Amino acid sequence: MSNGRLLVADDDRDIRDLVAFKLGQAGYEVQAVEDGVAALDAARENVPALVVLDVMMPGLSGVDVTRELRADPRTASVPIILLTARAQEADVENGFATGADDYVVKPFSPRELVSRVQAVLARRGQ
Amino acid sequence: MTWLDALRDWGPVAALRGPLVALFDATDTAVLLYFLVINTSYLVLIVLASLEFTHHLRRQPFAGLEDAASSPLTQPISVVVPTYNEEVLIVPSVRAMLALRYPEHEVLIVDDGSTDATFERLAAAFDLVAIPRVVPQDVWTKEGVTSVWVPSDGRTPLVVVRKANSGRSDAINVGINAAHYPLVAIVDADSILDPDALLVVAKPFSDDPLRVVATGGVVRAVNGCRVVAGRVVDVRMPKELLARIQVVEYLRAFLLGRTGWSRARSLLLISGAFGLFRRDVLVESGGLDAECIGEDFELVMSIHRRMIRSKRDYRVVFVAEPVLWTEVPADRNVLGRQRRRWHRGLWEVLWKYRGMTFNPRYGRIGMVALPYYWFFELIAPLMELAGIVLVPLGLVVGAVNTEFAVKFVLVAYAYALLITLAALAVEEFSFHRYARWRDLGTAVWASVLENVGYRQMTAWWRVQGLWSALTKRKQVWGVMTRQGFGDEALERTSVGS
Amino acid sequence: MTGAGALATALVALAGLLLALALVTAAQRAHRQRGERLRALAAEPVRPTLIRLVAGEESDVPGAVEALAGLDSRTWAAVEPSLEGLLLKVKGDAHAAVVAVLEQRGSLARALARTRSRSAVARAHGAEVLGAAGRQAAVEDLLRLLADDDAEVRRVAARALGRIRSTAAAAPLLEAVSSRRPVPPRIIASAVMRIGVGAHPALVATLRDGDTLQRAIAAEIAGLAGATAAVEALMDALLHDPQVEVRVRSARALGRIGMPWATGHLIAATGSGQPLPLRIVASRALGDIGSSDAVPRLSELAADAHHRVASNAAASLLRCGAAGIEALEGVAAAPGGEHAREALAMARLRGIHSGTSAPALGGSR
Repeated sequence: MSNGRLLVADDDRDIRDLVAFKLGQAGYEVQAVEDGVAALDAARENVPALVVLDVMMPGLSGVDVTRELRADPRTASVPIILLTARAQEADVENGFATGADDYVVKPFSPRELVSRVQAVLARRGQ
Repeated sequence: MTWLDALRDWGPVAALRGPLVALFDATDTAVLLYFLVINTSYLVLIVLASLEFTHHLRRQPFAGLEDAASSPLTQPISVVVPTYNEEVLIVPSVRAMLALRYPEHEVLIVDDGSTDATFERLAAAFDLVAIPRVVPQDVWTKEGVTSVWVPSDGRTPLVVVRKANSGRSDAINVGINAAHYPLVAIVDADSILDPDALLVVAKPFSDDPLRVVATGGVVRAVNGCRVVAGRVVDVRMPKELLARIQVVEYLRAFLLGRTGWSRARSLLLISGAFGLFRRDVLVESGGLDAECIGEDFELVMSIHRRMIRSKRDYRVVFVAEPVLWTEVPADRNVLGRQRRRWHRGLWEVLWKYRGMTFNPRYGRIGMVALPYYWFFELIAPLMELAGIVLVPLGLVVGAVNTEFAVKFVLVAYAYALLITLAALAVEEFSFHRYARWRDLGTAVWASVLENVGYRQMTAWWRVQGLWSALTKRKQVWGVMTRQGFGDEALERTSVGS
Repeated sequence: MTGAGALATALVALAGLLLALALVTAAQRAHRQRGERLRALAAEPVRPTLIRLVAGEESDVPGAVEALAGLDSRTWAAVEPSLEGLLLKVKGDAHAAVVAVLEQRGSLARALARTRSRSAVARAHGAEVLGAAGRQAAVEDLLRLLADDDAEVRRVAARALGRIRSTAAAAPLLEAVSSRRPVPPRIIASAVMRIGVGAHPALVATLRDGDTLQRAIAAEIAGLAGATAAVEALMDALLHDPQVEVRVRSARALGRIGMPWATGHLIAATGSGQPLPLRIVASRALGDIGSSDAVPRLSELAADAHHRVASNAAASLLRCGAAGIEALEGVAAAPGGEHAREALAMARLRGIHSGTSAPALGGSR
């Protein structure tokens, strides 16, 4: 069974592979890319059901990608989860203000991430 | 009897022989000594630099950059970017700077009265709006702020300060005033920072918070590299010979000129393209000297003088890690202007701080580093040029022994080549950013070719720079014509509109 | 001629050196590339197992652990660095699974032995792994490394103690900030914050009895960690500590903790006779607390002669509820209200009209 295609962007190969595997196991089809520019291109080409974005990616950060996605009518409503190494209130606040739906702090529990993905998708599905 | 003997018997030439023989006799010991000392000092610097690299690299895995990247106690940085007519590059540059890995930093663009669409591009890309920002006058500036702009979301940490044109140094001083944070990075708009650049150069500030006042890192040539979204993704040698030689030159310069000196705790120069400073120290020093051509050198000297005079325990640290990529001139005229300006700046700063030279009060800086800059950095091109003229002349006239001269020149160039190859070897053992075998070969070949033509040409430009400084001609700023990095993301419309 | 003879010798020597250098460089490159290739070749087939391990699905883990335990030593050597790296990237079950494998392969025992190595790099590496693995049993050894001769080793040991969250390490960590062989304050702070509530008693004790640097860092951490137990001690330090630095950090901490009853003390700290750095930080801390009691004083400060005091006070008013915003508008309309006008403009951009949370801009923390 497939629950729709998810897009994962992280410049760390370990995390990218892990998140892709874990979400794959949970029944999602996953496309993984390694930077913000690639994430934008992929999302525009084929609008995903949800995007998991690392915040600190070189070139174009996760927050920048979020902003670009929200600005484009085709991707404006795609749910976004941010992966961040910084749990500071200002960063979290910025992420939400830009339009992210949820965030997960690194180091993270892969299981928790899957639960959050499912919860966000369920909320959107209602 | 050959044509050479005939020439030597010719009246004017014969008349030259006497004085030339006398000149060579009088100076040969001094020249030999100079040659020995300068080369030995290179050797010492290389050894120091290798020690520094070994130390740094072996500890790199435990540097704790991840920790620093997420710590609320890492000191926030204002990245000050003086900008004049950079419409082509400004938007991707700013995006890349905003995406640098660091817990808290703002990007502060000082638009120095650009006459192209620099500001319009920024305003469109980030939806800028004007705000009534109050900018303190902590540092004196020629031109005041005309308006301050921020992105309309009120959150993206970007500030664009507009002002009438008054030159790079004054623009940086305006940036220092407008900077919010305790650390100020000064970055050129056209340079490309490595994603971890801020973390890397800020590390000494958190390791030794009471003493470190300024840091810098390794600058590399971006020519030939593949750049995507304001970031170097593939390091390659450039195609043009002139740029290739400069790649090798930069490798060597940072090995000899910075790493070694930093290890000896007498760093005099932090590249103007990228340095990180404590804001309060910049304010105390009155910012950059807008009248001085070698403003980056001047700034570090001024910090040294102030700190030593007020008897403070302080450190100026160089981090032996590539952090910044800059486009080097591929055009001979542009390169010539750059080198003339550099050498003129060198003279101006050395002259301005002549009171520190050989002054025991200034410790290693006064007794070792500054004299070194006077005798070797400043004078070296003169010696080189003198050699280029006098040795062939002496040969023609018969004032020097042919075999001796040929061997001397060969030894001199072989030694120079040795220093350059040592730099390449250190790069191979440390960062090995040039992954292709072909690039290694190209680099070695460029090191050889540097000695034929390039060296002599730069020596000539440097002497010209010195001459114009001594004759006090009006300063002329080199205009850098950009080719652009061929940024692949730039060519697509997706980003930034 | 002896000169020419010496030159000839030098030339031969230089040529030899040049050749040697070129060969060494090429050899190093070949060696490194071969090593990388072999390691990748060995590690690549194991990668799916590695990912299955950290994905932490109960049905997968035992199999993955077994597969990794059975690897030959060469393959293991290629895989071990990835596993050590993963320790810092995941938590929960995934983390436990990685630790189990490292335990089984003897990596942790080796790391413990390395903390006694003569090489500083080996000691640092040992400490790093033990910290990442969260080894309680290594606390004693890491405390020893906290006083190591090598500065980098001390830093790694401090970070490791924080990751292990050992309550017993809190007091020694706070002392290390000003010991004869010191550890940088930022690293101590991160480590003590990681330890969490268990470190709070040590914070309070240090705040009362430590030396200047220790008191300052304890105040800073208490604020970042939201240590309500330290509020009394911080309020004392704010008004009575002999060192300005400690008072400044206490003011910032009281703001971050956010107890409204600290407002009066903070208002006192903004008095015109107080040191400037303290006034700057206190006027910001008042906004962090956001009590309406601070509004009259902040309104005065928003037109203060000093740039940072005025700009912080204006930003703070925004966060003191409706009364604060009303007061701010009043200041903005009056002469000397440029800081108030700036704060209002930023607030409009963000769409804040009742102080929801801390605006990050406004700086000078």
